[in-house]
Amino acid sequence: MASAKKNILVIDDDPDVVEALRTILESVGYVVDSASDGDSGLAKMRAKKPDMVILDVMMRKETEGFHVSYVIKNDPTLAKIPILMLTAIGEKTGMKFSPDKDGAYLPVEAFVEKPIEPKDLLARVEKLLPLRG
Amino acid sequence: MVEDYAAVRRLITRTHWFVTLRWVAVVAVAAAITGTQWIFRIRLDVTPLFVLAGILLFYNLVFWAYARRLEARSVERVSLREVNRFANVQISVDLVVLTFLLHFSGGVENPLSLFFIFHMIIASILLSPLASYLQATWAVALYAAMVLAEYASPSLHRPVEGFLPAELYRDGKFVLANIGALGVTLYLTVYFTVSIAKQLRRREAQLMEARDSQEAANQRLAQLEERKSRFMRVAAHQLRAPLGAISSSLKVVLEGYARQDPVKELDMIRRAVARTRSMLDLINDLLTLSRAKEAHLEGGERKRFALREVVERLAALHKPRADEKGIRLEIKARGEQDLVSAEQSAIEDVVGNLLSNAIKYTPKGGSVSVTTYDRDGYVHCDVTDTGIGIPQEELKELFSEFYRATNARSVEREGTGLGLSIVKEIVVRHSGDVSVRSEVNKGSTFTFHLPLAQE
Repeated sequence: MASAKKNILVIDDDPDVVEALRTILESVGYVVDSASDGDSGLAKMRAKKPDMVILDVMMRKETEGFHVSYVIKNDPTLAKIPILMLTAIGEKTGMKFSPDKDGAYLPVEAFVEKPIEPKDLLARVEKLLPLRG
Repeated sequence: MVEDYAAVRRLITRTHWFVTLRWVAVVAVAAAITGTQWIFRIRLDVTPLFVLAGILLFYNLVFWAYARRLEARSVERVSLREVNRFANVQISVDLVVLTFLLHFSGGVENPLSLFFIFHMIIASILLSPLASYLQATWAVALYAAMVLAEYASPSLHRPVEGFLPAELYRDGKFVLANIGALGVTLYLTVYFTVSIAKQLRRREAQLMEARDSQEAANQRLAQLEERKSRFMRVAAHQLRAPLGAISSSLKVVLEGYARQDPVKELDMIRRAVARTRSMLDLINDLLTLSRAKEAHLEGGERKRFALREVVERLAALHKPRADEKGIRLEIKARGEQDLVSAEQSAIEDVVGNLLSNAIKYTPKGGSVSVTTYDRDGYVHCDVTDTGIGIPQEELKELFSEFYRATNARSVEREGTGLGLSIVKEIVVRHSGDVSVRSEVNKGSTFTFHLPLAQE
C-alpha cells in the first residue's frame, strides 16, 4: 500500500475556504473531502476514516472546533488521526478546553493561522501526513 | 408593607447612642450630687438622689441589653414600631426620673428644670412629631404634678437650704408661672426641633437619591461601554472572515495552484468578488446603523409626508424581486390619517428593510402584504408574509445587532444581521417602536408605528 492516496477531511463552514484548501491540497496529490459543520464531519470520519483532519476553530458556535477535536481525541477509534486546526489571529480563547475535566489540555497536532499561506499550509500538512510513505 | 431598612437601622443606632448618653448622665448626676454636697458644701438630701442615680444606672443596663439584642438581630426581623416604642419608653422613663431628681432637690425652686429641654430635643430627633408633642405633654404633666403636690402638701417639699429660696414653692403665682413657662418652652422646643429635623431628613433623602441615580447612571454607562466594545468585536470578526476567504481564493490563483485548470481559476476569482460584495453590504449596514444613531443627535431633516406614499414607492421597487419568486405583493391602506413627521430616507430604509426581508424569507408562491392604518394617535404599518417564520424563543433577540435567526441561514448564508437593528433604531428615534409576531413555517408579521403628525 506504499502509494495509497492520502485522504484529508476538511471541516469548515466557509465554502470558499474549503474550495481554496481543496485546490491547494489536490494540486500536490491529496484526496480531499469536506464537511460544513462538526456533526456531519464526525459522521464522515466514522463512516470512512481520513488520514488527517483540517478543522476550523470557529464555525457556527464560538468553540465548535475545540469541541470537535475533543470528541475526536476521546474516541479511541479516531484519536490517532492527526488534526490541524485553523485559527484566526487573536483567537487564543478556549485553548485550555476544560482542563479539569480531562487533566491536561487537548493537543491538536498543529495550528495554522488564517488567512492561509498555501506554502506554509502544505509544509505543515506534509509534516503530519507525508505524501509518500 | 415594605419597611425602609435604612431608616430602621438609623433609628436603632440613634437609640443605642441615647443609651450611651445615659451612662454619661448617670456619671454627671453622681458627680453633681457629690460636688454640690461636698465641694460646694450645699446641703442636699443625698440618699434619695443617689438612689435615683442607682435606678437610672440600673434601667440603663436593661436598655443597653435590649439595644444590643436589637442590633444583633437581622434588620428584616425588626419593625420600625418596635424601635420607636423602645425610644419612647426611654424618654418617658427619663422624664419620670428627672422629675423625681428635681423633687428631691428643691422642686419648683430648682432651675435645673431646664433639663427637660434636652429630652425634648432628643425626642424630636428620634420620634415622630406627634410622639414628641406627647412626650412634651408628659413632661409638663409630671412637672405640674410634682410642683402642685408640693404646693398642696408642704411636707413633701425638700428644700435646698442656704442655696435656693425656701418659700417660693408656696407662692401659687410663682408655681403656676413656672408650669406655664416650662410648658411653653417645651412645646416650642419640640416645634423648632421637629421642623429642623424634618429639613435635615429631607436633605438626607435628596442626597441619597442623587447618589442612587448617579450610581445607576454609572452602571448604565459601563453597560453602554461594554455593548460598544462587543459591537466592535463582532463587527471586526464579521469583516475578517470574508477577507480570509478572499485572500485564500486569490492566493490559489496567484501562486499557481490551479494553473492547469482555467475554469477553476476563474471560479476562485468569482468567489473572491462575491465575498467583497458581502463585505460591502456589511459596511454599508454598519454606516446606516451609525447614521441612524447619530441622526437623533444632529436632528436630521424631518418633513411631513404620507406613510402610504413611501410604502407604495418601496413596494414598486421590490415588485420585480417578488415577481421573480412568484410572490404576491399587495398594499392595503385603512383609515384616513397617515401623515408623519420624519426623516423620509430613514423611513424608506425601514419599509424597504421589512419588505426585502419578507420577500427574501418567503418561499416561491407565497404572499406578502403591507397594511397601513391609524390608531390612538399613531400610524401603524404591518408587513405580513407567509414565509419561514421565526422560532418563539428567538423573537426577543431578533432586533439585536448582528443577530440572525437560526433558520435564516438556510435561505441566505451571508446576512449582516443588522437590518432589524437598523429598523428598530430609526423607529425608536422617531418616538415609535417595532414588534413582531411569528410562527415557524407559517409566516411573520412585523409592525412598526410612528406618531401621527399634526395637521
